[in-house]
Amino acid sequence: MILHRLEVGGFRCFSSKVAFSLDPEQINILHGKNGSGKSSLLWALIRGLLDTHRAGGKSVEALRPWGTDLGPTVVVDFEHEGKCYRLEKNFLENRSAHLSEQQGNKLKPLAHNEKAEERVREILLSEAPTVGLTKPEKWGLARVLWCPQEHLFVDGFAGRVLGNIQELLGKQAMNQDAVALQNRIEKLYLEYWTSQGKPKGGKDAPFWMKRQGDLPKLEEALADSTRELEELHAAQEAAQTFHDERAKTQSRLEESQNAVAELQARVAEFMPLVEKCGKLKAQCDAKRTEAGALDGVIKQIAELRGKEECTGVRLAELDQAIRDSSQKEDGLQRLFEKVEEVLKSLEGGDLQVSSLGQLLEEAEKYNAGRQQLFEMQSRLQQVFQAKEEIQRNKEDLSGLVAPDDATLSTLDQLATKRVQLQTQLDGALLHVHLKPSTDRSMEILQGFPLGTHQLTAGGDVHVSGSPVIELMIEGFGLMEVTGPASSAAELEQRLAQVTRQIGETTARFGTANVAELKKRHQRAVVLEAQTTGVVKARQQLLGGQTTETLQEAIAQFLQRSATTRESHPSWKDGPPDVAAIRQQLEGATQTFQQRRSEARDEWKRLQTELGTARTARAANERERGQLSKQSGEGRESLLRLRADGLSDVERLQRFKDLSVEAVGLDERYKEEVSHLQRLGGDPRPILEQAQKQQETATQAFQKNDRALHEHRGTLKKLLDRAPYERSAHLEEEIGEIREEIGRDKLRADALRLIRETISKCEEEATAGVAGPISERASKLLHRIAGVRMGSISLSDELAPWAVEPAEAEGAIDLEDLSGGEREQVYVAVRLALAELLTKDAGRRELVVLDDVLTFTDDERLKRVLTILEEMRTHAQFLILTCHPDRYKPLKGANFIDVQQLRR
Amino acid sequence: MRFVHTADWQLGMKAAHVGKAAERVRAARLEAIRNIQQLVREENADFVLIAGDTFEDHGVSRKLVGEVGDLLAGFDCGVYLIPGNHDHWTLGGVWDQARERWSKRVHVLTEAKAVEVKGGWLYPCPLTQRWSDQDPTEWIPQESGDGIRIGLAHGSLRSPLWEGQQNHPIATDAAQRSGLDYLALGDWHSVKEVPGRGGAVRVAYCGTPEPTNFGEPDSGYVLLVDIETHGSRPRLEKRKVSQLDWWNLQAEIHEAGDLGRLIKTIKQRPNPSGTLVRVRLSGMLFATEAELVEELLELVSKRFLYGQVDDSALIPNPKDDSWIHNLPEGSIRDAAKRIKGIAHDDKDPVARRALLQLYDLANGETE
Repeated sequence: MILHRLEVGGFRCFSSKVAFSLDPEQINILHGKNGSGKSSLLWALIRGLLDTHRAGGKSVEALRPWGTDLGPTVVVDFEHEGKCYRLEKNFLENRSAHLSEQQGNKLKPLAHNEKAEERVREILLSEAPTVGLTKPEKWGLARVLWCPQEHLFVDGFAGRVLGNIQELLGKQAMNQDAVALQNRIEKLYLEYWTSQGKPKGGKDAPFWMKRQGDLPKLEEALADSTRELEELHAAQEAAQTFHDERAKTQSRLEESQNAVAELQARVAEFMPLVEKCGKLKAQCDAKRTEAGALDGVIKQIAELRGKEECTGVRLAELDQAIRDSSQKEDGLQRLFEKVEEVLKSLEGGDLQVSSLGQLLEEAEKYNAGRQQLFEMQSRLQQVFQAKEEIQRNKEDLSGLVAPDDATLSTLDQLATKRVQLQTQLDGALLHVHLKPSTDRSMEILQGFPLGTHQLTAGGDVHVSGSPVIELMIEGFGLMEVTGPASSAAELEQRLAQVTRQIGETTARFGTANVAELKKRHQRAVVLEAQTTGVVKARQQLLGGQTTETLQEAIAQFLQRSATTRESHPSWKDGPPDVAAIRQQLEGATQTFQQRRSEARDEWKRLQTELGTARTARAANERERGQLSKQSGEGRESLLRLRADGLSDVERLQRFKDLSVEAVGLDERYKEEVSHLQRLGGDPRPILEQAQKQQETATQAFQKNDRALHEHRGTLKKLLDRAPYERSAHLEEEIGEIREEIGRDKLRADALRLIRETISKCEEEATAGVAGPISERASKLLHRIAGVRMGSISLSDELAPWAVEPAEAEGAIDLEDLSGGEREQVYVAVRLALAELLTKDAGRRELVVLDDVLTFTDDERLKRVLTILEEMRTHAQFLILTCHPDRYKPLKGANFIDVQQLRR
Repeated sequence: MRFVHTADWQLGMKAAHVGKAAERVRAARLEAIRNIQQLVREENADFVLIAGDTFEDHGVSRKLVGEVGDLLAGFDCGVYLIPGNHDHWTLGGVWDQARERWSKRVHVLTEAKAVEVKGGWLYPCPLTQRWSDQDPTEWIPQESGDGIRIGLAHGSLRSPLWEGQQNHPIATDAAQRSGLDYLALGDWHSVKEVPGRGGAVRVAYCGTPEPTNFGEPDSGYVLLVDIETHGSRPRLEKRKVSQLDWWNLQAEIHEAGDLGRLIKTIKQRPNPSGTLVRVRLSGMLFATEAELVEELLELVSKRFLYGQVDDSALIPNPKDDSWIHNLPEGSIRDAAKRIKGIAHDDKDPVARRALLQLYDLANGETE
């Protein structure tokens, strides 16, 4: 298709109509600034040729110029296979499409609306949109040849365009027959399947699917009736079981009823007999009771009488015993009193023992006192000795004249200071040491020791002094020695002062010898310590007493001893023998204790015997009292028992008569009892049990009967539903449907197999298309960008996805190329396809490029333009750009200024 | 005595395997009873023995039970029947209903107790269970007397060739063991006479009076039995009573024209409206005859009461590629070759159908 003219109105930025013509032979450059409407004009062309006039929705509304209600209109004059056409299309308002053929000056209408659009689609090999605007994948040839802004990217081609390409490459002879056959196949296929290969749904669903939809309900119904049938079979089995069970329980019930009847008959025979036996027994018992009571009376009377007699005898015995025991008691009492007196007398103690005891005590006291006296006397003596020692020490101390601690300390300090001063002085003095080799005399004029001195040969002479030492040495002359002048004098003064102080301090001690004074001090300390010790010892000896009190105590002891000796004159000769006295005492004590013990034993014995006698007497008296009481009661009882007025003989006779009667009754009773036993014992318990069993059997039977009855009801309901018949009909219906489904599905699957197999074969054929296109596009790329990028890799849908440079090990993804290189790859592919669809197809087609080389440098752009020039011979180009100057090199290009169109 | 021995009426049976003809098949079974009635009338039979499985199941409709009762009441003689394994005697089953409503001339024998019949004694062996491993004829006592002794039982004659457990197995010498003159059996759907000592047939299956499926040989009959006296050899005569014809046809296609001849044969079959036909094709399908398969399908399904064609064993002739070469060159032809390969190698029914479809489309025939 070649474009001659385009008219647009009410379309985006073109509220008013604009129109422009293209040169069919030249490269047309539609240029203008950004926003001038270049792309809008291209879109108007696309929308006009490819979209349905009925398209609506937001995307179509967006075609109106802003702020208006204008309906977009597009008029396209184009040429195809030597004929010129005009397509007029109105969107949104007065929707319509009109196709006319140019015949001379006239336009001959060819088709309207859908028909018109269909014809155009045939030319462009495009497809009708499903809804809204036509998507690029359905643009047909326009998809390949027309490249709106930002649609340079190629993601593949399919459908009729691909078929066209394949055809052109000679891969498949798409003759009419094949197309027609394929269309027939497709048509039949689409009766069952969608184009995506899924079964059609909804009202378009194929027969087998619709029928399949009928199955679930039927299958469910079949399952229900099968279940019912199974229920019926099970219920029949159960019914038989119920029936058998009922029969069993019925049999058991009948048995139990028979048993009960039999037992009831036995009971009817048994009970009167039981009553009779009862009566006889009662009578017999009554007689026996009476006889027993009478016998009891008789026995009681005899017993009472016997008792009375015994009681009398016993009473007499008791009286005698009481008398005897009283006598015995008296005797014992007298003896006891005697013994008690003896004991009392012994309790007082034995004189001899006590006097010996007392003697011993006194002797011990006396000896102890003497000991104490000796001890006190010794202490007193020690006290006096201590006193003397203390006195001596004090005298020694006072004669010692020793300094005390403080004085001694002062002396120490002064002595030390003196030594220090001396030393310092020595240090401050001048010293001259002479060792004469000959004898001579020397006079010390200044120094120490002053005066004339005779020097001996080989001797040592020391002279010291300060501040000068002057020596007049015989045979030598005057020697003057000088040194530091000041300190010695001071030191001497201080030394003299200290010496004086020492002298003053020690004056009262009679010596200035500090060492001596220290000795004295030490001695004084020792004496003081000794004195202190003796004083303490003395105090201990006194024990808190004074010497006078101690002496007084001694005197008292002496007095007491004297007094005691007067009581015991033998002690004057010597102290008493305490051991001997003790021994005597022990002997006497032992004798006394033995006597006393014997008396005590006797006392106890008599006491016990007396107690026993009294106890026995008391017991006899109690017994006597009881027996008297019993005897009284016995007499009363006897009177009561004889109150019946009968004599003993009469009473006995009566008892015998009663016994005989009782025996008679008893025999009759036994007879009746044996009769009962012959009847088999009391059937009532057995009857009771049998009745319970009957009750149980009745309940069981009734339960089974009810169950069977209910079950029959259930069965009847089930039978009424004739489940087998229902399931048979359902199975048959389902079988029929499945057969129909099978047949139709087989047809559907067969068609799908045909289509899929054809499609697979086509794909395999298509795979052979990508190669040649890749080769062409790669050559174009080399011309544009050089050989560096190598060859272009295309998918089966002819979409470029990588380049394969010779230097690289593998393919390089387009994403890894620069924007410009990527752009050039796409352009190369599009131009290769355009070449195929125009030059190889032997027809001229419109190729549109909208701002597709924005990233391409001028150098490469120039090469692209060269290629476009070459292709101009077989394709009409329309290039949209805002840089018209870049395309100036094109020879004879037709430049169309969009701005100009508006004027 | 003369009597008619029949069994396995299977009334009310489902027939899903014959599609829309199911109802007709069921109705035919009732028609067969009328034919038996006619036979009884014509041959002056003393009584009719039905050896079990009168009904297919206890769950059949009451209407059917009533209908059968009316039919049986229409016999000119007494009818003696026993419950079989399908309609075994059980509380709440069909026989409860039958007893309530049927004529007293129809004797439903539910107890293993000898019954006096015209000319002798009948020893019925009613089944009380659907399945059992017990021989139902075991109870029949060996008694002396002049009357002809007839056993009536339902079960499977014991056979060492049988795999697994037989249902209600019957000893092959049951008749001899019990001193029976004849043992009338039911359960097997084909007529089967079991020769005994001296070649006398005293045990026989009468088969079903109306076939129940394709492949039931020797069915659609009753046995007319004559026995002179006790101890004499019974005379058996097979008499057809069935309404419908179940035609099972196997055809092997070797060469072009076979299919056409088959179709011709089928067209010539009499009484197609009373015939159910099943055609099993095997062999090679020639491309030129592909449409004949459709014609055959059409023929059997439209002309006959019921028709089924099984062409799964029919494979496209591997040497017959002529039509494929007539297809447009390219992917369509390639696809046809591939599909043919699948149809032949895998015997895929979808591929076979696809091939036929493609052939039809290629020849301008669309469905």
